[in-house]
Amino acid sequence: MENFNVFVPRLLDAREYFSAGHRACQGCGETVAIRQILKAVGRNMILVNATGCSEIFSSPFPQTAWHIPWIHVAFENSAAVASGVEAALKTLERKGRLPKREICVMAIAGDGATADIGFQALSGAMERGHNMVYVCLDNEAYMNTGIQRSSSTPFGAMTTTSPPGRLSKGQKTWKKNLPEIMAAHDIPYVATLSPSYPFDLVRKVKRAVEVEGPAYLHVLAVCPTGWRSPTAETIRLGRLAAESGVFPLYEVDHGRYTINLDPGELRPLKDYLGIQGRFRHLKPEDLEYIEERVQANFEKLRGKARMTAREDRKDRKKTGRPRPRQVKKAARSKK
Amino acid sequence: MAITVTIDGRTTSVEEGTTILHAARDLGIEIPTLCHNDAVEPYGVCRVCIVEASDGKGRAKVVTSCNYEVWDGLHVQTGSEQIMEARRTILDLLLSAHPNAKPVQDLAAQYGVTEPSYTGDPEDDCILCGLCVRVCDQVVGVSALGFSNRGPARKMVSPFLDPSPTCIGCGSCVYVCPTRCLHIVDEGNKRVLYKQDRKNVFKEFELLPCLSCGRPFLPREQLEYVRKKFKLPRKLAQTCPTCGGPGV
Repeated sequence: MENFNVFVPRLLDAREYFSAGHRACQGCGETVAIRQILKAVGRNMILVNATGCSEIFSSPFPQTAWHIPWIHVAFENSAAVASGVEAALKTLERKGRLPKREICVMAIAGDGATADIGFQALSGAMERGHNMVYVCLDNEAYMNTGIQRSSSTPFGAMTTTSPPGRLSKGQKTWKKNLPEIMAAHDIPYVATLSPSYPFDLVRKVKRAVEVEGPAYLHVLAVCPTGWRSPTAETIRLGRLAAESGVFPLYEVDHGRYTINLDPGELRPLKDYLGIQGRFRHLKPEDLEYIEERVQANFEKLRGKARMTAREDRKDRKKTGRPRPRQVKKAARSKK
Repeated sequence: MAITVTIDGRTTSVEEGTTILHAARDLGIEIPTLCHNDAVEPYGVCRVCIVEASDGKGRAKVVTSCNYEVWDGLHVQTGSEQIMEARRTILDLLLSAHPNAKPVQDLAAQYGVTEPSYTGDPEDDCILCGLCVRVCDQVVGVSALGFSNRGPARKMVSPFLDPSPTCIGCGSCVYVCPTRCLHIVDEGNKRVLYKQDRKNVFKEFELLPCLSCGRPFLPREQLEYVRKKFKLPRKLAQTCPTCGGPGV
């Protein structure tokens, strides 16, 4: 999907569900992602928004940027609230108090609210198998409170709580691999997306809404304020992240891995890190270390894709046509 | 001028010239469609979006909501027994002709049609909705796709079954195709547009390399078309979006 060009944007939904005029910083990647996600889902949705950048800038009292039902909840419980909304909808439909229709329940949270504070709520919601979509807008630190490190901050990045200096190289630990953790929950759909590839994003969001059961989407939201990058480079940074293998675009559909953008030979990491002020202090040997590890991770991902493709070929031999594998539904009384 | 319409018992006021489909969507009432896209003129060919339209007193008429404009005092029923029955028949026929088209299967299953009444071509997923043809004409403006023959022999093809000289390989047709029977793939410095399987190749493109990183990224035809259309100087648009920062 990433190879669609000039004329396709005109075919997206023309209606806007996320108003302009909110308080996001210049060049915010998160807003672009939100706008595209809402366009992909349409108005049949209930959105649960954890505290974070997106909530703060979109709803300064008494205004709001949202044209859809929207609930703001605390940092830690967006997944719990979304699962509650889903359960309530199901119950009301069963009792006949609501007409049966497809309503998408979506939770949106930042990387802090997903990887750190709301992690157990998220894990619980995914494990219980609610029919919901959880979207993590990953800007790789607590940007809203002033750029503090989170467990999703990449290795070597400067934040106010991981300052580089004589004794420190910035963030000491490697970025927590959330999509893989979610894939390990064995949920029907996990995908990583980037607003720099809008059609890939729209397709994946539609697929996440379509599948029965929980879906997890991990969005790279470029943050010029926290990443110390020029505001005009937001979209390009997203593309560089994907092409350099730092943020591979892939999906796990019922256990089958597909790499959506495999650039063959990965782009040099310097292209991506060089534009960002938060990596300015890194020495060539640090870059080498990061590059090695990024390449190893990408190779691992390719391995998973190859392995599941082999199983897929067997399936295809049986049915004659390529089609997504369906996991057998659990024996649960469905009323 | 705003006019009043009643859809499923709910009254709303909409602008003149609105179609029933859009008025219903504004109310949150979903009408299924297969051949509709807001970017192109309505076509009314899949017939799935039928509704009952009347003046509230006399006999109701079955119309396609995607291209029926509302008028003052219009009453619409989107889910009456007659409509459901007709829609089931339409979906049954569609499913019979294209038993493997995924959106048809899904929609038919929603209406309780799982076993088609007739046997069609399981190898052909194209439901002849014409979205690709209309998009190529109205959005891209090159008309590189068209229909051949009539009736049961109707087919979506490139003109005279040859690689179309006007096709620029933008992928708009692939993007709108509801049944995903059109494909576009990039293989090294080649881009291939084909229908259903690799036997029906519509056109092959040579991809130009980015002047900065050397990765192939754009068909030559597309570069020439965009240059002409937007009157770009020769120097522009020779680097890929990833390399080409602002001002390049």
